[in-house]
Amino acid sequence: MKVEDLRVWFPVRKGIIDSLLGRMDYVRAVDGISFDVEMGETFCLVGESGCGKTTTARAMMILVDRSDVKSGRILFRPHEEVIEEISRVQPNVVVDGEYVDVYKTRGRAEKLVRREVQIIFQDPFGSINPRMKIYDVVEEPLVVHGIGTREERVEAVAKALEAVKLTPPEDFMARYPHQLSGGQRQRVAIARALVLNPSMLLADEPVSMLDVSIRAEVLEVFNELKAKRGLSLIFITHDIALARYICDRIAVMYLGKIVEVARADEIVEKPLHPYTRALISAVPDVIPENRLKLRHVPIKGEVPSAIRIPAGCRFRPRCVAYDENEWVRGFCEREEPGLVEVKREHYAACWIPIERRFEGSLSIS
Amino acid sequence: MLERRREVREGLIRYLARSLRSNFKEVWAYNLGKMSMLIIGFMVLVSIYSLVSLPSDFPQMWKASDRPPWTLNPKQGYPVWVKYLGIPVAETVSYDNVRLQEARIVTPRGPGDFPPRDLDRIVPEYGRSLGIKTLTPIGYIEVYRVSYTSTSSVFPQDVVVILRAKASEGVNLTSISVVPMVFVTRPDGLVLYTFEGKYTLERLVSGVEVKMRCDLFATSYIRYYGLDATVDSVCTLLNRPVFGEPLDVKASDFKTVTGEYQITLALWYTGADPRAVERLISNGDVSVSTSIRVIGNSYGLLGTDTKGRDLFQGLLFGFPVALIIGFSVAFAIVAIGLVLGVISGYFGGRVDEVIQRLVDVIVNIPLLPLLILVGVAIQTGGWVGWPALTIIMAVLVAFSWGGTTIIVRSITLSIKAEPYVEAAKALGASTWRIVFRHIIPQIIPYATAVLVFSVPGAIIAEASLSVLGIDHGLPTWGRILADAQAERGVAYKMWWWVLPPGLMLGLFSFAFVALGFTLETIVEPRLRRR
Repeated sequence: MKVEDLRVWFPVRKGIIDSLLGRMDYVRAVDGISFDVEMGETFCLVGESGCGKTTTARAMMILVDRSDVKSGRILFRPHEEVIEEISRVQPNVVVDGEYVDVYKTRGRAEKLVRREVQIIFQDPFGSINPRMKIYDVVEEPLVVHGIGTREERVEAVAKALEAVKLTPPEDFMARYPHQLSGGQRQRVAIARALVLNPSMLLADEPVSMLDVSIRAEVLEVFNELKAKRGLSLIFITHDIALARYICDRIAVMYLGKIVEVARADEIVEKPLHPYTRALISAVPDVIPENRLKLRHVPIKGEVPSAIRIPAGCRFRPRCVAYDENEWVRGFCEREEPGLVEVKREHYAACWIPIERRFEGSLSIS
Repeated sequence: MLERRREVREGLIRYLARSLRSNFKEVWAYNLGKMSMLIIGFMVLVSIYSLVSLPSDFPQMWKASDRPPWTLNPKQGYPVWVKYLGIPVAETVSYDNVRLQEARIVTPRGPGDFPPRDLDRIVPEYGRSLGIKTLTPIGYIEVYRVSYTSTSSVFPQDVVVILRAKASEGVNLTSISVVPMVFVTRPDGLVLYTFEGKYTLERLVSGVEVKMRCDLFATSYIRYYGLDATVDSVCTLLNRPVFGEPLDVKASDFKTVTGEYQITLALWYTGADPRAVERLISNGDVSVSTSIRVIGNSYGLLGTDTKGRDLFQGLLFGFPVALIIGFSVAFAIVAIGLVLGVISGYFGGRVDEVIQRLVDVIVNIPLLPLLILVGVAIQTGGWVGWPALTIIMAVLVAFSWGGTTIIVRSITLSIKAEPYVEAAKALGASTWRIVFRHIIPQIIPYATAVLVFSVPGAIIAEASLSVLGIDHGLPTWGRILADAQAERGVAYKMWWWVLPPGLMLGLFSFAFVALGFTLETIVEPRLRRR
């Protein structure tokens, strides 16, 4: 999966006069992000609420209006037989022979992409229709895509339920969602996503609504899936500690942009962006002695509105490093830093590491 | 593709069946629900009975109030059971196909034997009765007699003789005539000549009903009692001189003569050779069936109206009509509201805008004046019966779906935002699948409640229109009430005309409102009391 310069702007409803004059404001939920996810890799999107993680996920699932996607493209590499079929039904969406431009797909091709990319939502209570039995929930993707006979589907549903450790599956099939715990429901949601055997799975904060005690069982399922199936996973979370536990690479998002990307260990141990540092120091400590210590989180203020994004570096109003490093302020105020490979496979969008790396060789025109 | 569509449909049916079954169980758990279910069940059973038992042309029959069978009933007749309440009534008694008592050829036995002694032997009433006899029967004569007991202080309203002839082919129907003569022999011995007429057989084939005539015996009656009154004053109320005796010389009041009455019908066949007539009759080539009916002042389970129409039958016919009006209007409202509401809510945009503006217009047009206008148009356009009722129902539907649409739209909007709808979209589910599998099942409980609450509204609207004078010609409960009002049934204290349809309307509404409340409690758990 490749995301290139994706922008998702939602229009804000304004008065009649403004809309007549064509004056429109937008919530820039996602404001130009790019990243690659390798086959079999687990890629994390980390950031606080409102930073655009979920919108990115929804955009990747073609769940936002196509008209709201203002720029960029999402390229997705499905299984080989799928790309063959897509190139038959809609050849113009195939890029470089192995990628599909997701937002150009229509009809049958779009459906084929949807079959290959599945998503798990944050809320296990809302994401399952309360009036459907577990069997019907997990079977639905198969029915939608017209896969298998009835017997084959029963078999597939049972397998999917077993894969998420809802065993014996027969016990669960006839139940209704309200008869299950949150963790069990989330595993039903995972089973629903897995039953189509997708090549890519998106998980949008899959454990943030679960009790801490049952998070482990769901995370265990994820780890096992990664190991056994080799599917690519995009894992969205606000918890950088959790991201480190589950991900190969982490991208930190702030106000619609990715500010830092690196391998999980690297980013947690040697963060380059002041926002990443703030995120890391905000992780609560379970060691009793440290608990009552007032921890210092190096960030100030609140997240600005995504309608009026600050000029220059968008993190500047909250940046502690901006206050501390007088020499860089000129850059921060004038121009937004790009995502630059500062170290090997470590990208950051902050003038301080960029300037240090290139020793002022970059100049602003 | 086909397989999938079939499965979606099956799933939907399974869902609906399940929810209906469980809804029924839940409703039954509430007393109010149980009551409403019992009433509605009763209504349905009565409707079925009504459809089976009433003739298919009942509405036309009802409209023709000046024709039998209504003319054979007492007018403003009490329900028969009021006698148990101590109200004196005269019962209506029908003697169908009265057995022939005697028949013979009457001829003078020589000169001077006129009227013939034979006549006196076969119809002794002829000579003894008070009345002007314009004809002297000589020929073939049949005699029928029935007896009727009057025990109360109430006068029966009339005596009707119903004649119907059957003849084989080849019989000259116009050559033979029949002269029916009716005598009433009272318990006090007085015999009144109450009818004389002449009909050809041809006329009798289509059936003839004859009632009593006062003018025949009135003059002799005045002389008999030595009254100082005119024929007109004695005959103001025909039944009084026949079944009673005057209390004063002015004949301003009468009192019933109780005891056993005998009603004699003599049929004189004339116009052909008596022997030939006798032969025809004994061969069975000609037969006249005779029914005699004493019309009291009470009839049937629920009495009659001012025209003698049986109100029980009218009420019975009202059951299926009420159910049909109620359910078809309610179903149509809910169906339109559901479809447009879901379209409006789910697809949004311009379609939504158009539907909502349409709703704005429809909701704000006052319905009742509009319906009155439509009613007038129907009447001037000459529509009657079911077509007229259908037009009224269509207008009712056309201006009532707005509210449901608005609410279904808002429910759809909230369901559309549910994560499981987004999840279904992410799976690649089609719009149809999302609508039928994920959205409509959530709206069904609400739609059911709306359906139930709309049923009585439609019936009450129809009744109101009837009372306001929009006549679609069908005997609905509202129509019966309207007749009662128009023909001063209330002024005559005819409670049996007004109360039953009024009570039925009330009971019907109650049942559905009660069911609605119960469903509401089930659908909206916050209203639960236990």
